[in-house]
Amino acid sequence: MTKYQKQAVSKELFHQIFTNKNLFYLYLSIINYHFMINKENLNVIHDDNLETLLHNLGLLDKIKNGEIKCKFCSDKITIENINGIFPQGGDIKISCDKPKCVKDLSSFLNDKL
Amino acid sequence: MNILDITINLNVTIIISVAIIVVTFGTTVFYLIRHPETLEKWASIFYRVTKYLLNKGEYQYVKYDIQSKVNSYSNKLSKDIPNLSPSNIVIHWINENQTREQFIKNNAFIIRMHKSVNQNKNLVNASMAYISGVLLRKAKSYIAKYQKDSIDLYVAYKLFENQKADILDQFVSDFLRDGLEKDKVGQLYDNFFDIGKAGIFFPVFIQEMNFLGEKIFAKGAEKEKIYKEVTELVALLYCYANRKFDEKGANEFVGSYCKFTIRILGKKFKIDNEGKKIYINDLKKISSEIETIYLIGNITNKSFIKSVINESGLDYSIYFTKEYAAIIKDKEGQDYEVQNFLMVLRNNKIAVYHKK
Repeated sequence: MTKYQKQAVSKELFHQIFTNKNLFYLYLSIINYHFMINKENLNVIHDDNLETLLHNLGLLDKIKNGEIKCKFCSDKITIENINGIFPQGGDIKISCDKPKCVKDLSSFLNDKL
Repeated sequence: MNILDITINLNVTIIISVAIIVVTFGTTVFYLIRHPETLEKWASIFYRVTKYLLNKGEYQYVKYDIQSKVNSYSNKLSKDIPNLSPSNIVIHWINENQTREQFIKNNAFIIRMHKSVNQNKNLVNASMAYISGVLLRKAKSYIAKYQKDSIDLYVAYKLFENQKADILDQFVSDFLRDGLEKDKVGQLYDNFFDIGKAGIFFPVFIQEMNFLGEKIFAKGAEKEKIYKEVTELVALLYCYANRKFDEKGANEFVGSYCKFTIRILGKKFKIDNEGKKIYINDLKKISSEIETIYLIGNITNKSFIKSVINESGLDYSIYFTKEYAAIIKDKEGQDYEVQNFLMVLRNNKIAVYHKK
């Protein structure tokens, strides 16, 4: 959200505050303002749930058999070196935790946004 | 004292107490709405202590620790560069019980978070994802890869330099060491360091990159031209940051996308001998194609700078002002620290482009 958009939102918020006596509505306005501030969701999976997710995606056995390669460096993916999981062209790709691949994943993600 | 007096006193005391509680509560709520990262920091401390006791404590600690650190930095950047407005990060745990088809349909990119014993690694990976993906998104789509990498590494270093030493170590071993092995990245990173020491990396370089991103969005990109322009922009700021006291050098940049000038106002002997007039005349000579004027002076000359601008009649508006610490060079080239004041002026005739 740019400075100008924020100013517009603030203006709207203050308009609502001064034109509505209802405290509940005021509370909603503030919460609404809070959530209108720009946010970027970073979807994550915890180590504890990683194998369950991979199993549900049909990838766990393939990884254990060494059949999956990193999307960016083509190194073999193991449970230990997984960093990113994402869909591409109807398939699911995995990237490893090498610094270059962590950065490549961010750029790749950025291009998709 | 009769019963009526006691009742009135009691009522007054209750009203005052309630007013104090309401004002205190209201102020706290207002502050937390304005600074949600403070709440996130408290939450991360709470969950760090209770993660072994609470059911989802481990998850909450990982989430709020990253959010509080990254979002505090994001807010600092917003203050340094008002037009940057980087988004805040929200860590979102995805549902592990989804089928392959659902996963592909949701089109979600997922990053792995280690157990909190490896929280430094989580923080560094999430921060790099945030810096690479969010900061200067528009401009970075068009600049060269080594330029992009150098900016990311320098900005990430600034994020981690004030964190605990082991977090900085994690960043250095995972990203910085490898990143700087590439000659071009390393050289540019070193230049950013010198520009940063002079206190003009964030307010001038990043600001110009932000303007550049807005213009490319509107005009369309000519990549080679942009690579060259960014290189020249860094070269000018590097020379400017490394000049010795009173040394003359280029202070104006007129490229296809960036058009700005840096002027120092308030040298003591000039103020004593010639006053405001010499500065007003100098500012009036600035070409109308210059879009941004960066006025820099010692903090003691803040009022002087403001009065020069008020009397100059320039067709520029004050974009933002900032007080900052800078390390500059004396006549012998030795570093010394000063407290500076920066005023950024934007040409009133410039169209501003925003991505809808």
